[in-house]
Amino acid sequence: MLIRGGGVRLSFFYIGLGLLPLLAWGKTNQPFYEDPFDLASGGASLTWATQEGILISNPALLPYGGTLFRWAGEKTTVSAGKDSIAIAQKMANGTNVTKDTPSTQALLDTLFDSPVHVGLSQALSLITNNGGFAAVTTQEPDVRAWKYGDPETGAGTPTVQIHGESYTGGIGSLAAHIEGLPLSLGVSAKYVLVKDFRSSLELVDPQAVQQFSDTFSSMVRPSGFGRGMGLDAGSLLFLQGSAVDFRLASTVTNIGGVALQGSTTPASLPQYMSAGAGITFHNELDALHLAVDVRDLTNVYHDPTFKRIYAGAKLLLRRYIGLGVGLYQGHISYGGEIDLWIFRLAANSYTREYGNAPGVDPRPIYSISLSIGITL
Amino acid sequence: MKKYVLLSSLFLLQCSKMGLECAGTLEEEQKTAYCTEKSPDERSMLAMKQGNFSLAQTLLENLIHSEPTSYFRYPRLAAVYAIQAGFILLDADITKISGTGFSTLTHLFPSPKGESRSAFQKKMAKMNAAKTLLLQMPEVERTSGKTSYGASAQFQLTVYLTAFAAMTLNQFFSADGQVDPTLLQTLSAEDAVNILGSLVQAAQASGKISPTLTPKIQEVLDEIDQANGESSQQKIQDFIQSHAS
Repeated sequence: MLIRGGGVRLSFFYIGLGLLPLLAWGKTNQPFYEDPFDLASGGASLTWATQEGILISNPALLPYGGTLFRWAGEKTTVSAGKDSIAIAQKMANGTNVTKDTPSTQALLDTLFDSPVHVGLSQALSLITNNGGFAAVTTQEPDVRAWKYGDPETGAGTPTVQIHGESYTGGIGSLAAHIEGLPLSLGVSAKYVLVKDFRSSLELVDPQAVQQFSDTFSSMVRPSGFGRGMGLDAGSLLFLQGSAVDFRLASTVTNIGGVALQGSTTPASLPQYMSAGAGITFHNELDALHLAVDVRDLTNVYHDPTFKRIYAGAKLLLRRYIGLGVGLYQGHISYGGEIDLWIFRLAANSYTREYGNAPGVDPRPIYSISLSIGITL
Repeated sequence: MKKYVLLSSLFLLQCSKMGLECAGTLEEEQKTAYCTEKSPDERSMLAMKQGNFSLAQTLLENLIHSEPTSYFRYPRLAAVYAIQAGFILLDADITKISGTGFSTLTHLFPSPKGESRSAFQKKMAKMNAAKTLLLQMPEVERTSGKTSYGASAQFQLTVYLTAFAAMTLNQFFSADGQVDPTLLQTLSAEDAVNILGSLVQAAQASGKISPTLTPKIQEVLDEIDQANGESSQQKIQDFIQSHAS
C-alpha cells in the first residue's frame, strides 16, 4: 500500500541508498569503458581513441601513437547526472528540495521528477605502440521513478526503476602494422566481471518491496557477477598525407560471444561488428579529427539507429589541449582535456538516452577525470 | 584555426540531420533539438510525465483500440482516467486510514468540494471508466505475480472500485459534511447497485494486496447491511443519513 512519508516508501529509500555504489547502468554496443575525452567527442572512438580507451575500442590504433611508450598511469573519473547535482547542491545547502517536505522524503519525492545518476570509473593502464594492458572498473547506478505508471512494466501505479550495470576487468592488447600496407591489425583479450540488471519496484505493493529486497541482496553478492573471457579484434586502414589523413576502422567485439559464468543476466555478451571512418586535418602541432562510427552493424542488440551512430570532432592544440564535440545517442556532447605531462585533467558533458528515441528518457551527465601518469 | 572550427561545425550539422526530425506538440519534443519521431507509446509516456493527461488518454485509447489484447497499456490508461477523476494514487495517504470505514471512503477519495453536481458526475464517469477498463482485462492479466503489471492492475482495481463506490456516496454530501435530504431522495436503485457492487468487487479483488483497505471496505458493507430499510437503496440512504454531521 502506498504510504506517503510512511514505511514502504522509506524502506525503499534505505534499500536504495545503501546499495547505490554497487549499482551501475546498462550498456549494449558501447565499449564497457569509455575515456571522458572520447565521450566528449560523441563516443566515436574506432578511428581515434584516448589512452586505455584504445585497447577497448580498437587495438589496431596502437601502432599509430608515435612514441614507443605512450602512457602508464591511473585515471579516476567521477560523473553525475545534471539533476543529481542539483539535488545534492540543495541538500548540501540545507534547503529542502521541495517546499513542503523534509529532506529525506523530499529526495524520494524528487525522484519522480529528476532521475538520480552517479558514477565512478577507474583505470590503471600501460600502453605502448605495439601492446598494452589495462585494468578498469566502471560503476554507474541510475534510479528513476514514474509517478503515474511505468511504461516498461505496464504498471499504472507509482514505480521506481533501478538500472544497474557494472563492469570490472582486465584487458591486454597486441597490435602490429602490416609491412608494406597502410594497415594495422590488433587483438585484445579480456576477462570481465559483469553485473547487469534492471529492476522495477511498485511502491504500492509491500510484497514487492520485500521481494525486491531479497532479489537485491542476491544480486549484490559477488557470486551474482557474471564472469567471462573474450577476444576483440580490430583493423585500421590509415592513409597518411602531409596535411590530411584518412582512416577506416572495423572491429569485431566479443568474438564468438562471451559466455558469462554465474547466475546473472545477461548470460553472455554477443559478438558484434562495428565500422568507423575518420578524416584528420593536421599540421605539425595541431590536428582536427572528424569521425563517424556505426556500431553493431548487424544490430545484434536491436538498438534504435540513433544508438548505433556516434559522431564527433576532436581538436588537439599544441599537443596538450584537446577540445571535443559530438553527437552521442542523439544529443550533443562536448568537453575538453589538458595534458600537463604528469597530470591530465578532462571534463565533459554528454547525455545518455534510456528511451528508444532521443528526448524520451535522457540523462544529461557531467563528468570530470584526473589522470596521473607518464608519457615517454 | 578558423578552418578547423568551420569544418567541425559543418560536420556536426550534417550529422545532426541524419534522419532526425522533430514532430509533435509535447513540450519535451519541442525542446529536444535532436530527435527522431517518437512512437505513440513513447508520446503517451511523455504526456503523462508532463501532466498532459488528455493527450495521454487519446494516445493510449487509440493504441488499445488497435491492439486490444496488449493488456500492458490498460493499467496506465486506467491511471489516466483516475487522475482525471481527481484521484492521484501518490497523494492518497494511507496514514489517513485510521478512522472508520466511512471516514476512509469520504476522506481518501474525491468528493464534490464546491463543484457542481454535473461536474462531479463527470469525474465519477471517469472513475467508472477506470474500473471498467481494468475489468475488461482477463483475470490472469490483472493478478499479482502473473504479469509485470498484474500486481498494479489488481491493486488499482481494488482502489478504483472503492473510489467509485465512495464517489457515488460522496455526491450526496456537501463540503461541510451535511446531507441534502432532497438530494438523498434521488439516490437511485442504480446508485445502490453501483455502491454495493463496487464495494463487494473491491473486497473480493483486494486479496492480500491492500491489507489496510480491505477491512475498511468490509466495515462499510457490514454497516450498510445493518442499516434500516427494506431495500438496498433504503439501507444506503439510512447509512448516509447516520453519518451526516
